[in-house]
Amino acid sequence: MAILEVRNVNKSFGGNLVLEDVSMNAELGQVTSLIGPNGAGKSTLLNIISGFLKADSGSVVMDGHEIIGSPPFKCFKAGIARTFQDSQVLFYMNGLDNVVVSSPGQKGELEYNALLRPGMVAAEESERRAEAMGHLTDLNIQSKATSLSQALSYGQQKLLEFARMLNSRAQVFLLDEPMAGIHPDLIAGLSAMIRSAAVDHGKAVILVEHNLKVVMDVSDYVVVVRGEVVVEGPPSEVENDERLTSAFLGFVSNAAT
Amino acid sequence: MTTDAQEPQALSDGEVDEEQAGAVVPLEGWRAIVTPQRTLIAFGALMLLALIPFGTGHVTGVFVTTVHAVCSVAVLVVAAMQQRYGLGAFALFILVLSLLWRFELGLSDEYMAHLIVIASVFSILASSLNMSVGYTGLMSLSHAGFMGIGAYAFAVLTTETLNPPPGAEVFSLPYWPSIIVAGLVASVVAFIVSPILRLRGHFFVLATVTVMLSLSQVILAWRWMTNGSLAIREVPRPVIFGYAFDTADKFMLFSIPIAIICIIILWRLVESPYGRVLTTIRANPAVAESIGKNVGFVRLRVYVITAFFAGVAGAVYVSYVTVAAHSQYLVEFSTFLLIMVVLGGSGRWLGAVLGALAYVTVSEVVRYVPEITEWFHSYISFFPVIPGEKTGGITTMTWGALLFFLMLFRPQGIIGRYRLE
Repeated sequence: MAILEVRNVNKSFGGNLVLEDVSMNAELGQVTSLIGPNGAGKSTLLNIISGFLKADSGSVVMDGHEIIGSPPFKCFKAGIARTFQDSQVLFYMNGLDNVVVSSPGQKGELEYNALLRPGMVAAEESERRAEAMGHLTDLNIQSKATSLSQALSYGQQKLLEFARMLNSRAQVFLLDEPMAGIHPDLIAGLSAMIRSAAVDHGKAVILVEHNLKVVMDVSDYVVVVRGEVVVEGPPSEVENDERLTSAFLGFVSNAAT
Repeated sequence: MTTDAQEPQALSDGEVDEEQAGAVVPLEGWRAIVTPQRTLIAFGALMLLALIPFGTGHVTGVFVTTVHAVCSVAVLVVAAMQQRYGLGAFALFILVLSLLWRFELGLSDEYMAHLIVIASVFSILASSLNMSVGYTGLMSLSHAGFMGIGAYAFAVLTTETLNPPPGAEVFSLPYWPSIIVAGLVASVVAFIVSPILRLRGHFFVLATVTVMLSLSQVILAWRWMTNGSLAIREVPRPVIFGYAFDTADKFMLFSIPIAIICIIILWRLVESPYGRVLTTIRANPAVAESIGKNVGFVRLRVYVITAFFAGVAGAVYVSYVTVAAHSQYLVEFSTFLLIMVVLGGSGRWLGAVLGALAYVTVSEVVRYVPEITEWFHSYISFFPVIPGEKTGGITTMTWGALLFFLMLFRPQGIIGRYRLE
């Protein structure tokens, strides 16, 4: 039983049909990759799943609950966390705060508790901070806990975002091009981390990525999108499928047929 | 995937430049105890204490100046050791001001008390505006409007000089509940105009300007309720157990505790997980939304809460000046409140308080520019003297120049964390 089911999603911007009848699943403990050329609608699909865009029709079922059309914060509460294409660390906040803030259900986030129940809020806060610090330590950036996030390098900011996502206790991680702008030497490290989120933490990871080598290494399942699902399957199958080439290059190679 | 353990290491250490500017180094030893923030708090508290006139005359003056001098020198030393030059410059500024003020300008204790009342009202206003501008990133220019609503609500509730049309009735309430109700009325008005919160960036700023303009027009036009341009007069001053706070130096004892209570509430709010959500929304609303924060609802709550404090400040203010006049609550005053927030440092709860104090101080000093130039002239003969009758223009010009240099050299304000976009 897939934790996230996307069924027959359609989306058009004006008259431009971006997604046509797209369906896909994400399983816990697996990395599902979405690949396709620019403008294929991968990011649009992520935005629909995470609530930032409204689909024209279709359904997104998260853990048995229909979430399509919900605002992003409700999708998060249903268990979907995401990263953005560029590094989106929270400026003017230190590394630890950047991570703690994603901890769900903090009672101190209500005015009433913040004002009138300082003891309870302080206890909760130290608990959440310890948890967040654990994630920073796992990713080896614990020394950045007190640094302002804008003082970190791009790679470290990406790690910080990753820690924020791990801290969110979400079941489904949506990663929008995590390798973009990352130095090639560091790609292996980040791939390992994505793999570990699925395998060690048991999350369902949906990865949008242009680096096909990374995708084929990391994924358990690959979905090739170009407006619609062109081909899908385990990486070993998709890798050799001519429809993969045709999706990226826009024609079917006649040599093979 | 055998390299799980090593690869993250490479990621974080491979491209680190540890000496990056802006990295916060944990302080050790005495530096951890005598932080600039704590120094400033102690300094501010002592200064406020010193400003309370225990009597009139020379002894108080000497006492106040001594305390100011000691505090300023202490802050200067701390600032120099921690290389906080902005803080040092501020301390030096305050020191010079207090010396000038005491020995050359000779303000009376009564007048000082008046300034303290004004400063306490302004610090409530600036602190609450800071919560919306500095923490949540809601650049609101409607704050003076909510202050005006609070002031008028309070005046209408407590004053009996109104002439309602036949059939209409004016509610009245005792003094203390009226202050709270004034705040609540401002909150309700904020809630009514809250659809403007859907706008972003400069569209939102423009919308708050229109709110501000409409509120002052409503006050002006709703004659039987507000007396229109004739203003509501004889708004009562507080009386507690028969003790009337009828002069500035007594009213000060009333307004300072209210300001402290309001500032403590706002401080508790912004320095909590709630405040962290606000900072997140300011930094990046999309990220805040993606990690489960209901951005729209939080913004609404902030707008309503800050309006409440603006209303309370308006009530205290109108009770002090005893006249509710619409001309005090204009867009212009909103921008002055914004100046206080920027001056002190947006996104720091103490910054707004410092900004309000600095604003009142500087406003007074620039009023004395002619006297100050004369004073310089008496020592340096070629120093130009600005004649007194041009004071009005000089005041504005000096303010303009000060703000210009502030924005140029210290855009984040006295203790600010970041500049206002």
